[in-house]
Amino acid sequence: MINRLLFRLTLEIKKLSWGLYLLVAIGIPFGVFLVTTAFLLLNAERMASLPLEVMISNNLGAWSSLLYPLVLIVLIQNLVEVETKSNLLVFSKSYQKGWFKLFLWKAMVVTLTLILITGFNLLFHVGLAEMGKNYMDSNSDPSEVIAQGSMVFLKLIPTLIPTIFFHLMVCFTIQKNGFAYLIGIMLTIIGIPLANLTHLAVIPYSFGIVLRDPNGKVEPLVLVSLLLLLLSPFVTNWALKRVNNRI
Amino acid sequence: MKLEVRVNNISYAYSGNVVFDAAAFTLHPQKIYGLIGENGAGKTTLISILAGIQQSPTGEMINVSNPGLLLQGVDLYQNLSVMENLQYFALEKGLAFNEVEQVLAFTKFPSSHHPKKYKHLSQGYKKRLAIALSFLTKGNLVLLDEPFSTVDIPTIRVLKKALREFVAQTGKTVLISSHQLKEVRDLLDEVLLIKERKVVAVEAAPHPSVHQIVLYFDCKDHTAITQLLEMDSRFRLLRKIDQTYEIALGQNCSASDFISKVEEVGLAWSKIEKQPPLEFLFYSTDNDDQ
Repeated sequence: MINRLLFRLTLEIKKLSWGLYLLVAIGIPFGVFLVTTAFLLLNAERMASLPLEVMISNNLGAWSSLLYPLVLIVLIQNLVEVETKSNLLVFSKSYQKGWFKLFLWKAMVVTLTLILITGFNLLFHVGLAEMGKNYMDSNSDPSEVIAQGSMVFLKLIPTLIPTIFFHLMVCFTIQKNGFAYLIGIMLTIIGIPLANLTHLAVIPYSFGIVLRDPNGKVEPLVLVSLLLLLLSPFVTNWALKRVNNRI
Repeated sequence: MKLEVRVNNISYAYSGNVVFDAAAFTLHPQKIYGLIGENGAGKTTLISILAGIQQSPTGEMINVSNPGLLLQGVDLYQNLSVMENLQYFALEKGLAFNEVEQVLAFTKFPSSHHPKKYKHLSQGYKKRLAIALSFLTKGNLVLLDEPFSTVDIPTIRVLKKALREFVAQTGKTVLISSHQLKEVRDLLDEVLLIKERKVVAVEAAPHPSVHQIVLYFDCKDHTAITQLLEMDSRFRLLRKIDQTYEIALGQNCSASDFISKVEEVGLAWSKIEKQPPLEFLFYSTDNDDQ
């Protein structure tokens, strides 16, 4: 049973092109790390006067507000595209009654990839902080900065799962790749100032900002997250039953 | 024991157009059925109703559940191999992996191709895989929409053999919708014709008239055959579809008389049959422009 489940999970990942998967899971975290390191080394003199917390906070800010949502959007678009591009959702109507299972498999693949990316981010975060403490000033103990930053990265994982559910729902419901991309990216961009101004979890792509916001309200974040986790699979199932009724 | 599939009084309309009106038919186990009809008659719609894709028909379908399916315009997962694609659908359908081996054996899929990714397969092998996938079913019905399109003649031969073996060994029923009527004709045990929103069983090659002999004559030389028919009033052209002429023979005239005449004028021909090709069962107008 477990073997079959693991095999199924492997197949779900293998449906994607390996090139794209490695780019998203390793390339982007590594790329961001390289750019930050290069910036630090090339501007070592100027950076010396800045506290280490600034660089760590910028790195966390970039990931929580923009990079994580964008990475998730790209990954989900591609995961959904392999199903919609070849009419396989229509075909699957011949042997299954709903799409809950497929939705949850996709959510699992993205969540596992999110954990993998976060694993790399934690490594690079420690690397950056270790390197930074040699070049930059620090108001507090560097190991504490590392621990606090690592905790934020870990907290981002459950915070972003509702985002995954929401964007899966958008992609499966719309089924037009470009349009779903546009919605995701537009909401990510609009969400940044909105979350910073209102401190509210209104847009699912900016939940990471609310999490890091000292004035961020936790209760609405939890409530909206639960709503998204519950509603997204049902809305997707309902929408797919309507959309794919004809070939 | 395999059960017969019964469809009772199926009615279906789409955007106000009635596609089927109380259509009824029965499919028996261990038989291959052909589904024919003019373009737009509803062949693919009927297949998708039976497959459960069109979900709002009225009527009753008995013993139709989880049918195997081959649909036009459906591609499998590009980055999965032949084996992985079939194993994936076996998992989805709750089937054991040894059934994957069986369907690959039916379709004579070379083992060297099993690890090949779907995107690297030729059109013929893609079709072979799609047919193998359609065999992977718990149900007793397999629905194939245009199974022989985009494949070459040798592959069609392999696929036809695979279908015969599959039906003989599993006792399942296969329903084929195809435009390549010449290719499927020898494969079919029975033919269903969609006409006037109904599905009617066509007896094996019915004769247009019991009072006269009708021949189906394949000939590329339109001018020569027209001259022959003008010259000899015993032979009358009824219809022409592509290069096949439906010719009625006059009273006291036999098929050998016609062949003698053809030989006499030196007309090059490829085939003469008394059984009408499948397309003559539903085309009603002459193709006079050819």
